[in-house]
Amino acid sequence: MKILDRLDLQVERRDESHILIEVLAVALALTGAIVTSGLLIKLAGADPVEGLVSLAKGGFGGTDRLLETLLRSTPLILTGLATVIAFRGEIWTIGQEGQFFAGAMMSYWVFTYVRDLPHIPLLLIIIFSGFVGGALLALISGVMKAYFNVDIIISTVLLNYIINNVILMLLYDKKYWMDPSQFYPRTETIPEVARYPLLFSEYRLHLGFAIAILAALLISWTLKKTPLGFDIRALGGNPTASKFRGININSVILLTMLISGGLAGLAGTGEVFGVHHKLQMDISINYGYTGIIVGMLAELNPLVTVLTAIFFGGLINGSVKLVTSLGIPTAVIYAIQAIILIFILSARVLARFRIRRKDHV
Amino acid sequence: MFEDLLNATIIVNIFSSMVRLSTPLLLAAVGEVVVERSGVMNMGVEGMMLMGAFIGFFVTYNTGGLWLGILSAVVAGGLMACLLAFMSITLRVDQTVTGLALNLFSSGMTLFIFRALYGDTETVKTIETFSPAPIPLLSNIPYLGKILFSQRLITYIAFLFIPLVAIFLKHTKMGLAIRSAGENPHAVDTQGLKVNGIRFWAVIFGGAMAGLAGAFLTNGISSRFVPGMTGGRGWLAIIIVIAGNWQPIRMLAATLLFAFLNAFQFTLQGTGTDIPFQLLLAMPYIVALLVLMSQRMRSRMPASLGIPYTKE
Repeated sequence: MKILDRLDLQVERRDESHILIEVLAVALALTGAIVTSGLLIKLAGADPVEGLVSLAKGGFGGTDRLLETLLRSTPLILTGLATVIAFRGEIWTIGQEGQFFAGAMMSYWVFTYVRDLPHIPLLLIIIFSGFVGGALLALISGVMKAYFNVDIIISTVLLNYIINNVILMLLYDKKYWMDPSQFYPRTETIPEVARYPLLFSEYRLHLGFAIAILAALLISWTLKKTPLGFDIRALGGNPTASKFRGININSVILLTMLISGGLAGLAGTGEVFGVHHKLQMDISINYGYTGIIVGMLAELNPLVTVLTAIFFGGLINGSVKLVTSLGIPTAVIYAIQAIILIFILSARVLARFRIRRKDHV
Repeated sequence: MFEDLLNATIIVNIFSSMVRLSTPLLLAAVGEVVVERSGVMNMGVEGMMLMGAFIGFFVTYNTGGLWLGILSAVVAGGLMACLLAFMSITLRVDQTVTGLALNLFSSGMTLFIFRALYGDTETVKTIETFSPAPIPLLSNIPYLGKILFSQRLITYIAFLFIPLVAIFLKHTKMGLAIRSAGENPHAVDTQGLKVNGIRFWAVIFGGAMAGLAGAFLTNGISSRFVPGMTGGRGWLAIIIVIAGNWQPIRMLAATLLFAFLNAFQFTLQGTGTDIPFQLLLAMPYIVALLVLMSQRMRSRMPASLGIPYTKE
C-alpha cells in the first residue's frame, strides 16, 4: 500500500463492475482453478494434461456422455435451485443434503403404502411426497429460526447429521427397510410401475431432468414476478427495511424454506425412482453440498444454475473416466469443485476493485 | 441393561472418556470465541478441524513424531485461517459463504489426498496415540483421579485455556482491543489501532486452535484418520460459543454435555442395548438443537459480529 501512496494512487471498491472486467476475472479464476486441479492430478501420479482432457472427454465427449452428464446434473439443478431461492433472501441453509434424503425417504415410505396404484397416479404421489419430505425437514429449521431464533445454518447442519443417522438406522435393520434377501444396506428394488419414465429409450436420462428444468423456470419466474419473490429479494437486500415495509419476515422465511427443502427433496426422489431404483446411502454423492457450490457459482441466478449444474454434472461424470483410465480417485472432483468456488468468489470481488488517482480535497 | 451401567468402574470410565472427548470441542470453541469476539464469524471451524486431523495423522504416520504432527496441524489450521481472513476481511466476501467454501475445500482435499495416498481399500493405517500423563498424587484420588487427572497432556492444556482466554479477553490490552473490534470497531480505529489487523490475528488464532483440536482427534483419541471424521464437532464448537453466551467459562457446561453424550454412547454400545446405536450417535445433535432453542440469552453477542469493517 505504501507504494500506491507514493504514486498518489488508491484502491477503491465499487458496487458495480464493468461486465468485461467481470468476465475477464472469471476467466482468470477458471484458469487458476484448472492449473490447481492439474497440480492435484499430478500429485496423484498422473499426467495433468492427460487427466484434464480425459475429465473433459468423459463429461462431454459424445452424445452418450452428454446425456449421462445431464442425468448427473439433474439432482444438482434441484439442490442448486434450493440454494438459490434461499440464499437470495440471505437465508443461509446448508440443509440440502439432509432434505435430499428426507425427500427420498418420504417418497419411498409413501410408495410402500400405495404401490398397487396405476403408473400415473402412483408417480404423481411419489413426486409429491418427495417434495413434502424435503419441505418438512426444511420447515423445522424455518420454525426454529422464526420462533426460537436458532440460526438456519446451524439447525440445518445439525439436521443433516441427524437425518443421516436416521436413514442409516432404517437401512441397516431388516426390521425396518433393509431388503431381507440382501447383504448390503439397501431397500428392495422399486418395480417398473413406480419408476420415472425415460426421456430417450436407450439412455438413462429420466423424467427428473424435465422436472428440474421446469423447476428452474418456475423459480426464475417466482423470484422475478411474484410478491413472494419480491419479499425474498427485499429480505436479502435489507431485513430491517423489509420490516418497515410491512413484510412479515417470519412467513417469508417459512415459505422460502418450504420451497427450498421441497426442491432438494425432489432431487432425492429422482435418484431413488429414476436412477438407482432403490433407497441406499450412495444415492447422494454429495449432491446436497455440491448444489450449494452450483447455486453460488451461478451468482444465485436460477437459469444460470442449470448451466453450472450441467458443468458440474460433467465433472462428476468425467471423474468416473479418470478412475478407470488413469487410476485417479474420483474424490479429486470434490477438491476441484471447492477450488473453483474459492477462485471464483475471490475473483468476482477483486473485479470490483479499481486503482485510481487520489482525490485531493 | 441399565444395571450394567450402574457399576463404579463403568461410571468412572464414562466420565473419564467424557473429559477426553471434550478436549477437541473445548480447543476449537476457545479459538472460535476469540474469533467471534473480534467481530468475525468463522463458519469454517469444521473444515479447519478436519484439515488438522488429516495433517496431524499424516505427519505422525510418516515421521512417528506425535508432537510434530500436532505442530503441523496447528500450522495447517492457521494457514486455512489465513485464507479465510484474506477472503472475508480483506476481500470482504460474505463470511458465511467463505466459511462454507473452506469446509467444502477441506472435506474435498482431505478425502482426495487420503484416497490418493492409501487407496480405496480399508486397510487401516494407525498411529500410536498419546499415552496418559497422570498427575502425581492427584491421580491417586479415588474416582476423581482417574476421571480428571489421568488424562493426556493436551487435555490439561485445553482446560487451562479456558481461564487463560477468559483473563486474556477481560484483563489485557490486547483482549480489550479484540473485544472492541467486535463491539465498536470505529472506536478502535479512532484510537489508532487497525481493526482488520486485530481481526486477522484473532482468526489465525482460531484456526490454529481448530487445527490442534482436529489433531487431537487422530493423535489423542482414534489413532487413525477417516474421511469426514470430525463429524460435526466443528459445528458443535460454534454452538458451544453461542450456548456459553460468548464467555469462555460458561462454555464449559455445553462442552461437557456434548462430550458426555458421546462417551455415553460408546459405553452403551458395549452393553448390547436394544436402542439402535445410530440414534445414540445422533443424540449430541438433537440435544444441541434443544440447547439452542432454549438459549435465549445472547447479551454478550458482539455487536459487530459478521459485519466487515470499512474505514470511513
